[in-house]
Amino acid sequence: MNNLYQSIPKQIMNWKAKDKDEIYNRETLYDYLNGGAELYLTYDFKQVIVRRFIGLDQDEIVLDIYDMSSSTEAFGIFSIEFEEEDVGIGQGSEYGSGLLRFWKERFFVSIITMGDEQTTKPAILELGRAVAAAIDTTGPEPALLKFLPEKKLQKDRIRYLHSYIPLNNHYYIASENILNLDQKTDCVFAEYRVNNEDSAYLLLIQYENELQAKKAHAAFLKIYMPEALETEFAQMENQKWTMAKTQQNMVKIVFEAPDKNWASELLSAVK
Amino acid sequence: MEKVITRRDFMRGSTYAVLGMAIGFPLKQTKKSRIVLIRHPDALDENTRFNENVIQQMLDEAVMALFDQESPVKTFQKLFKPDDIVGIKSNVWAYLPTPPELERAIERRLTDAGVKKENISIDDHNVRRNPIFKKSTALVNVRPLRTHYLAGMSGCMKNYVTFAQNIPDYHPNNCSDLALLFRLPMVKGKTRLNILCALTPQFHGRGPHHFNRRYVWNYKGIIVGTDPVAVDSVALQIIKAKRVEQLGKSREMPGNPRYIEIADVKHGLGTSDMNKIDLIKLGWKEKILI
Repeated sequence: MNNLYQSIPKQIMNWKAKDKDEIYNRETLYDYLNGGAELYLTYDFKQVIVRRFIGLDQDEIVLDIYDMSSSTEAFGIFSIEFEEEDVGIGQGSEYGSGLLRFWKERFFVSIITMGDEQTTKPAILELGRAVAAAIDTTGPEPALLKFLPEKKLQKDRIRYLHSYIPLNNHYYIASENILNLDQKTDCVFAEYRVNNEDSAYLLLIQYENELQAKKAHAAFLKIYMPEALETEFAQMENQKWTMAKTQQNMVKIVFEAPDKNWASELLSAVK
Repeated sequence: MEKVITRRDFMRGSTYAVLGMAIGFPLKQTKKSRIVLIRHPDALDENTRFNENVIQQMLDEAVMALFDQESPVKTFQKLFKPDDIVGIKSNVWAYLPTPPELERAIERRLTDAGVKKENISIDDHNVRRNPIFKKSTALVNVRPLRTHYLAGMSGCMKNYVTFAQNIPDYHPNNCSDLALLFRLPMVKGKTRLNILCALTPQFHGRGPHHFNRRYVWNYKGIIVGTDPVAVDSVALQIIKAKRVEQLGKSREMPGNPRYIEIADVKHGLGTSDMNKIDLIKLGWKEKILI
């Protein structure tokens, strides 16, 4: 990472880097991210290097380069909040209102400013391109994504995660970790278009072994929809359907399906 | 494992009852918590600079309404004695700090009420080492309103987290037990006012710092109360309404701000049920959202 960082420019347009960069690791990340550290720690985050660039008007551009240990983890932390248009930097990117986020290989990069957007946007994008160019390889996305049925999949609404906290932030399931998620479980949560107004959601969780998957499946049914212990499906209070099944070491759950058959077909299409 | 609250409980609107049953407490009828929400169209100018005179006026009107008083100084004199040692627990988060104009407005009324200036301190990260806070007899809790990745929302309750010896101790389960901060020896029984700055609140967050100025808006309000749970409950209604307006109904909830309800039902710190909150709305009503 040091080699990478040394190749990042110390000046971008009229913004010059401060003399000293900052480094935070798993133990010190709390000192840097107010409220956001937990999310990074649910992934295999190693360290972040922070470089602050100061402009002529003293406005600041802050570059964060997060070493996430692997490309799947870098993809994960990027995917969890993706909602803007891709601006073509790295392996996936987005820009909006003074914030650029992208991932490439095992790195997740954030560039943010509080300065005037008109003047800072070109510098932010140029800095982003420079960082992406300095990362000279690419890495694969999580293999779990390949299990997602493609029909009606919203490709910009795929989240890869390991913890129930970000999952709850996207789709609240329960106050406790009823699916027993941890750093060893890989999850993908994806949105599927039902019609012009409605979406359904598919959650795939890969456990270390089949027994763990079966236990999690049973716990989910017991706590979330006890009326479905035998059938594995239930109609919710909003009239939508939830269905949960196991497939080897995987638990697969559909939420907000318009009807039982729709849910069943989606689960059957999981490869 | 405590009784698990599921999405389905929320859909049934039964979380309050479920929480109460889970912890074994009967749901009790309590006196209504009075909260004042005051807004002013001139609290910010066209360049989003804070207008200190207007903010002072808002604070004054809010505390008078809160305690049924006719003078802001007399109100502060009822809350603080001249020999009080007062810590103003503020918030210095770089992207959205407590406006100094609001901090000064509080400090001004404290000194007007007779508290010695040398016995007042404004601090955030250093409160545990700050000599004034260490010997404080009273606290004022003031911070800006924003969403928070883990807690869902950062309101008055979350503001006391820097009193904790080890902040991550308060992070499990979406910071569900933030109410325990109010039992810490440096804090317990000292908070006279909770002031949530909703002049430029943030209704959604993005990126590692959970900030994007797109999601900050000029609401031009201040929420004041003695009950931090009720203050946060009112604030949550505003945040939710703004999210529905801007992000759609499906994204109404800012994460999982369960700490508010848990502070009420489990810890008995205050009132989270909007039906038991006496909300007084003063000033500018346009786009009030509540």
